Amino acid sequence: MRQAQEEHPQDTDKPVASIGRRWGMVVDLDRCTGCQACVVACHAENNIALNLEDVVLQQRAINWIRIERYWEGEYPNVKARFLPMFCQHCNNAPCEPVCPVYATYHNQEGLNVQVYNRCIGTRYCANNCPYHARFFNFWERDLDDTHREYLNPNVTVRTKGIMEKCTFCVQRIRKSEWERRQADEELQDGDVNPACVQACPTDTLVFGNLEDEESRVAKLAQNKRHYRVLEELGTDTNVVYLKKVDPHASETAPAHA
Amino acid sequence: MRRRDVLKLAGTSGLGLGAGVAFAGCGTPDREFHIQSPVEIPEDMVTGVDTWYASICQDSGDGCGIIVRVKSGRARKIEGNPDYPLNRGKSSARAQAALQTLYNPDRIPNPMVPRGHRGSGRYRFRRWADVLPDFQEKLTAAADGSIVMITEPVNGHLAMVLERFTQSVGARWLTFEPLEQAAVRQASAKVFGTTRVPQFDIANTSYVLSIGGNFLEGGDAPVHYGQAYGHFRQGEGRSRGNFVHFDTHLTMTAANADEWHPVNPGTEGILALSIAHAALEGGAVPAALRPLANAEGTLAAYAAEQAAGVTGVPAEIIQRVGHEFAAAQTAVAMGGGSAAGHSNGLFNMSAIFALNLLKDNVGRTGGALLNAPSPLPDIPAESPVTSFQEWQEFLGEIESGQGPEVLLIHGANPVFGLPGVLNAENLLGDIPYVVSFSNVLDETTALADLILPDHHYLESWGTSIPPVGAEYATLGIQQPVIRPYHQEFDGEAGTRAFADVLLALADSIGGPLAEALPWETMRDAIRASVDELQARGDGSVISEDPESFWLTVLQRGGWWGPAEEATTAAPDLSGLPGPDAVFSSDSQEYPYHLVVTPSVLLGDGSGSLAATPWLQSTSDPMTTGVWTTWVALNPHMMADLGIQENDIVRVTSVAGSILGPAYPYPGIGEGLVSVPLGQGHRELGRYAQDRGDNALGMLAPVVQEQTGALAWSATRVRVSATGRRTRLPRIEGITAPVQMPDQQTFQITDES
Repeated sequence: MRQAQEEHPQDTDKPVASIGRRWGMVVDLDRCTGCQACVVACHAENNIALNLEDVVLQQRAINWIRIERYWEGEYPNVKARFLPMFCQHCNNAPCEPVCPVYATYHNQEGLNVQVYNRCIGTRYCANNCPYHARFFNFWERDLDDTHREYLNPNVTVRTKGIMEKCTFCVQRIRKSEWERRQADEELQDGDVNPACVQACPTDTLVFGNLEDEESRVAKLAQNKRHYRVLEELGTDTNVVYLKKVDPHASETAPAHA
Repeated sequence: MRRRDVLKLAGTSGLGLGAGVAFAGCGTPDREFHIQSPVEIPEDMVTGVDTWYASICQDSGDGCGIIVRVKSGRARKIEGNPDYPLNRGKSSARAQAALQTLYNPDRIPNPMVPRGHRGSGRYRFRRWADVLPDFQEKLTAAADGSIVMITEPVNGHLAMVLERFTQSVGARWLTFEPLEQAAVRQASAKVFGTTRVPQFDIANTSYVLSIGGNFLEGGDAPVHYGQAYGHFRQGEGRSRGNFVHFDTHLTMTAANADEWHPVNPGTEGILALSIAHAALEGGAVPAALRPLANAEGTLAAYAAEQAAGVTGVPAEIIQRVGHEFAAAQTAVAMGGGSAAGHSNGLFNMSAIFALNLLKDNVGRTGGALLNAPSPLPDIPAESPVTSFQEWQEFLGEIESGQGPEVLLIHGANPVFGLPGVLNAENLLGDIPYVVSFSNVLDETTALADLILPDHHYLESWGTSIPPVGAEYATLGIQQPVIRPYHQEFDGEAGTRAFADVLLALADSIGGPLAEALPWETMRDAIRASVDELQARGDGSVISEDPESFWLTVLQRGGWWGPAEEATTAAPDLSGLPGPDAVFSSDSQEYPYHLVVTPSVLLGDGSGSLAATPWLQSTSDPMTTGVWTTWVALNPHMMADLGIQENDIVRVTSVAGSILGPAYPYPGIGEGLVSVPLGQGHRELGRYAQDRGDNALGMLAPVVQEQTGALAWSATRVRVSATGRRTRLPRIEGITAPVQMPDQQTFQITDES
């Protein structure tokens, strides 16, 4: 990966030439309450398979976004912390180079893209993802007839044997683009909101173009509380977290899962 | 022209039913041809283009405004309505999951009667025309006062229709809420002068003191408070607010507080007054709090040192919080949760709410905002609530042979929600004629002689008067966003809206009933009210033309406009503090307090939320458990009892017991047992049936003396291992978080 970048010195931190648009998200941990609205909104928008009890027990549940819960300290000085986790759309994505069939690649808008009909299900990408953001379809979809009715016609229903993960609701990006194009206009900040962002009651999640310095997401990403999860791995994610503020932080032990 | 008339016309002209039948041979489902916009402009439907309709979410309990994406005649996605004052574009997990209650494979598609005897579990579909005359005859033949209507607490037009219907046919109207909030409402009446609990303006306050208040996960408006909470933390133009929470155990709301301190169950009111004492520096209380004070007018009996022993909260914390509360520029005191479910719930809640009087914050920015009254004088903002005591009396009457002849049930599930010792199932089963309007087969509906399935709320008309504070008087309008999924092909099969059935019945019975309910359908009733709003000439929609006013109101999801000032009474804390909390049994045999925890996803188990795989499989925020019931115990207590994680334990009270896998929960003290609610359905279809256990059934029937409500926090239990093990399905552990040695995944800073 590093070598590949050296061959393109004009854009070292972005392996793919950008078109002036790099979708990204800011997650303000000080706002997140753990309410799970984003999780269900994502399931509803993206035709994600039902995580029936057996599926959960086999540890094969699919959640493109999940709320991780970390414990800190001991009773009664115990704290629970909530961290929304989903595909970080790394600019230097560990999942991309290991795919033997180029089913996952980085597009010009900064999205880490999964091409379902290329995927042959080696699951190398999932093994290589440090964020556990990739999920494998172990089963063919077996939906009740009535549960087919609400499927989103803009999103593929994945079949058995392929990987899937958060797309930043790329169908919504395309739709907003199309709508603006009808009016002969450029995309505006705030036009595109993935399902999780739209549902989130507390505005924990903010989505937009990180390359547009005027966008809300780019400004928030400069907040002094910003950090990236597992930054040491050099994944260069497009998701920026803002640290939780805790005036009593020093009084409790560090978080554990 | 009514919607149905349009269809009839379309049918005869060969476009509607005729075309449907003709095309059926080509493999196109004939239903597709009936789909039309619920607003009276069917030509707005373009194939392949999605349309969004505004409505109100009736599943989630708070009545959020929603917009629903409809494509090819099917509801595809639910979002928050960006215009609606209560939730301004945001939504909850429950609101999102309404698609699965709408397209629930186990919905009752047609009127049904049991095969053989009642409760046989086998049913026969019937046509509406075949069952309605008999139903009407039973209703008219019943003696005055021998009809009982049971519903969930409702507001808006349904409450108006129910009130008039029950009054005119001489029926009793009982409402049922499993975790009764009577203490909250009556404490609000004592302190704020209104039973509608004010909206606490946390978005603009600098200090939130919450004692048991679970406003982020339950309460009356979790989405509204979620939004305000985000602003409270990191909103622009304000400094970060401080949030201190006391509760018996670590709830989701508690987890979001800057500090959480455990408090002994039943002592929440004492804690509140102790904080008040510290806030007043031991001085005299304001006049309104005088009934709680001693002869000198102080709260010396609640001094921190004494209260610390009772409440389990260290005196220095009480002192500090009291001083912080007093010093804060603006502050609110919120309460609820298990504090309201003790036998002294009214005292607890009144003492907590009374802290607001110290800050004199009622009606002020960053304080307690009283809710605007209903914009329409004859449309109630809340329905009467039947207390547990009244429920006991009602069941007692049945037992003594003086029960009603006819029972009508809609939206409530007392067989599931009432404590098992009340024997509601058998007693309600003794009523000669039971009719349920539920569209899912729940435990109470299973007793019915006749099931007349209601539409889903996304298929029917209704209104909601949400608690949005003083700014707007609001009427949210729930309109059908799709044609009913289970349709009336010839007008005689399929589901029908509950209110419309009542209105048609009123018309058919005639007399005073028909006079009280002059509308043909609920839509007509709402239209009449909207015309009244149009005449006001102010608010969110203004139009000279009633038709365009009506359409715009529907498009925006309702009407909101300047409110008259809410009329409230002066604070009256007389009769308090009242007796101390009592518990169901002695602490020798039953050493632990049972904390029943309504799930942020499944609530208390009423309604059909448990029939949605999305909510079932979404992780509980605190334990990440899914699909079942678990027993959350302190890890040290588990070690003492020799209980391992995933051991199936039996939790026993004087009134019953439940089974569930033990979950080591770091956020609960050693004397408590926490069990989530929402599961344990014997009915309710494939996704809910026979999962976990229902802790509501094991509650001891302790009555809150001052309110008549069930003291649902007052049950004591013992815990024993069964020797069996299972695996709790949970999301935690599926994806073990990677932790780097030098860099935490979850990072914290102490500077805002």
